[in-house]
Amino acid sequence: MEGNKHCDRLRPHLDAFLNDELKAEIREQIAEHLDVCEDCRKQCEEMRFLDNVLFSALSMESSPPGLTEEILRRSDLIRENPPERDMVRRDLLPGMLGSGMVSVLTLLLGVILWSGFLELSGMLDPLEDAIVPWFLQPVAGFWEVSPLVWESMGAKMSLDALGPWIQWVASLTPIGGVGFAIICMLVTVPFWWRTVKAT
Amino acid sequence: MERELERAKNGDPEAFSDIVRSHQHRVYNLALKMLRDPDEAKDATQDIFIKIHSSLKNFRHSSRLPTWVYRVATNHLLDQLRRAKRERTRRINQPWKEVAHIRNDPRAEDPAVVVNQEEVRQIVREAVDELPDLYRTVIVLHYQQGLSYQEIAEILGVSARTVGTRIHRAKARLRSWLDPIWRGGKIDGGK
Repeated sequence: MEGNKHCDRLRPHLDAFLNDELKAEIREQIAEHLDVCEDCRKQCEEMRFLDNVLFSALSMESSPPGLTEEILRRSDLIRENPPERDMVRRDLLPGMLGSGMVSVLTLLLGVILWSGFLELSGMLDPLEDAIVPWFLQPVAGFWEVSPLVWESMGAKMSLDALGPWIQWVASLTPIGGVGFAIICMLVTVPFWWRTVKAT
Repeated sequence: MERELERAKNGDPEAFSDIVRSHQHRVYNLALKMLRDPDEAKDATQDIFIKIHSSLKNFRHSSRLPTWVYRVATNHLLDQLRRAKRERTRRINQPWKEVAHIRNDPRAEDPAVVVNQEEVRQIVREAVDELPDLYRTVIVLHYQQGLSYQEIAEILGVSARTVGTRIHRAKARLRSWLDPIWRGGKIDGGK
């Protein structure tokens, strides 16, 4: 009867018991249980039998002749002629991501500058002060946001707080088109140089 | 071994050659049991060592070299099996029926004799081949490669308890398939 009480709990550990992989405490419990439970003892014997068959059946086979030499030949070849780099992943992707990020930031800044943001502080009206290149002026007003909206977003407060810095940035904006383009180019050059070198 | 490893990491071909010679036999046998095809096992062994060759620089000594080699090998083999998703056409009961006469063999009464019969070993090998990949991995690592539960756990990145559970379940499945032979009952393939 004692057997039935512990069988379900202890049987999953019989393999580990046979392989001496159990902690002393549970090993002791199983040993005691096997003394009194004929079913588990029988199962244990069957497992031991299966263990022996498995050890016997899964013995190692000899490796094919020349395997080591073939591996060494291939590794020598690789050492002498390193494989080509994964161009798309390692070379092109950083360039694309880098210039992509710069483009997105530029676009974002352009949208903010041309959306009437600076008008709130009364410093500058980008549209009137011709920051927008002439060929973009017909569409520049499309995304102009009403001053009321900016105010509702707390933009004026930020502008007032950042006053001198904004003034400085704003003072650059008339030449900003060219300057910003140069900065963008400088930022992306390392990425594209890497790409050119790789190709 | 540590000095050898450092030399291999620094690109010494002789040191890498020593590593290949000391592990190649075990890796090939693991591949053979996992892939069940000598040619594929040979190719996979080469690929595994080429992978080891190119990632030696990244070996951080957080585990022993044999453990790391086994880890690279098992990951590679399991990936290969997963990629291939081979549809097994062999049915387990087919080869077993051919050895139905064993149950009538009086020697089969003696377990020691049964264990040593090549036919029985072949049946067991076939049965192991039919195990799911994860179960077959632990069975091969334990019974063929002679690794402890803890070593297998380190290779597979699981707990020793999980290894024990997988071995237990794998053996339960093997027993359910093989019992008809041991007991001389009806051989129906166990599935």
